[in-house]
Amino acid sequence: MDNSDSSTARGDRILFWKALFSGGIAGLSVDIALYPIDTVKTRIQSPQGFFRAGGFRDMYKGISVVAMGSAPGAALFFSTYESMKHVLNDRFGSGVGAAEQHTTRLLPQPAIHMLAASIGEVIACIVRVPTEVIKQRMQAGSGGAARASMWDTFSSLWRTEGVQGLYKGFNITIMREIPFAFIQFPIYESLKVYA
Amino acid sequence: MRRQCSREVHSYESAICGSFSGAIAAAVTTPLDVMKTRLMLGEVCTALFVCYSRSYQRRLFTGFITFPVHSFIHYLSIQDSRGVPYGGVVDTFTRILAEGSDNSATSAWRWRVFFRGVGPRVLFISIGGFVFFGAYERAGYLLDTLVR
Repeated sequence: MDNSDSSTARGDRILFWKALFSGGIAGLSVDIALYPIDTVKTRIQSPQGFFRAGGFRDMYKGISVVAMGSAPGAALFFSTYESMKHVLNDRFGSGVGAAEQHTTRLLPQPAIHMLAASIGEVIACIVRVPTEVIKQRMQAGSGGAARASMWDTFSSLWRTEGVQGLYKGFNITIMREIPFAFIQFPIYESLKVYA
Repeated sequence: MRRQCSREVHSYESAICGSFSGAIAAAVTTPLDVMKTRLMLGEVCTALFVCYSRSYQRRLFTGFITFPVHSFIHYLSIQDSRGVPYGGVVDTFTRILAEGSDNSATSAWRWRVFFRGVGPRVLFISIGGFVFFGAYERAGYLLDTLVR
């Protein structure tokens, strides 16, 4: 894995592994620390309503799923984000030869960040969506999954609905994540300049 | 990476930026989050007649001829908690809206259902953004000192 035959510079590879490591650690610590807030949110949003979905009981239900999926999901997002930002900057950012009389840039920086973040989200959803489906079902106890373990929830979902079951809500998740990235990342990156 | 900054951006500054930008984005995208939760908590119909019988358990049997037709229509669709299939994102949207208008009189108020859980969502993402971006920069910095 380390010595891939691509002609990436050593600095790029360090950047990649750095993003992978940092994103994974950061994502995991956030998801575990704030898990009860997420449980409250899922139950408020559930069709049966907050109290019938479990109220304040079993606030940590489904945390095992997050512990498994959070780090790979965050690492996938950040490694894609950082490397796409790099690739897009090389292609469109500096406008070396292709730019006509416009000496500066083809794409403004925020556009590059938004694009990179969107691609990162789509890739991360390959891991995040199955994690979310199982986690939310354990939190809200729907589909007969009340009091069920991670394995029970997964196996019943797999038996009755197969791969489609694991990936349901994939489209809407991307439809949520892309506007999110389009709003957050430009604000984030421009705030950082003035910090 | 650091752009034209004259000095290094501290990790706590990144954390504040991440937190603030996340809170705004979280609040705005809450309706999409509600729809996502509804779709994920529903069931997918992957077998023709299993889907049909689940969907219409509480309804009258509408007709022998329409049975396979309805069953086919709802094949691979996602159902809500009562077993009624969601017909995709647009249908999910209108159904959640209808749910809002059931409970409230004014027309503006019924949009409130799309902002269910906005408090916990903003809270999670703003605290999470603070910790995440801070931890991200910090972990990267630590890795740098270890490598070099």
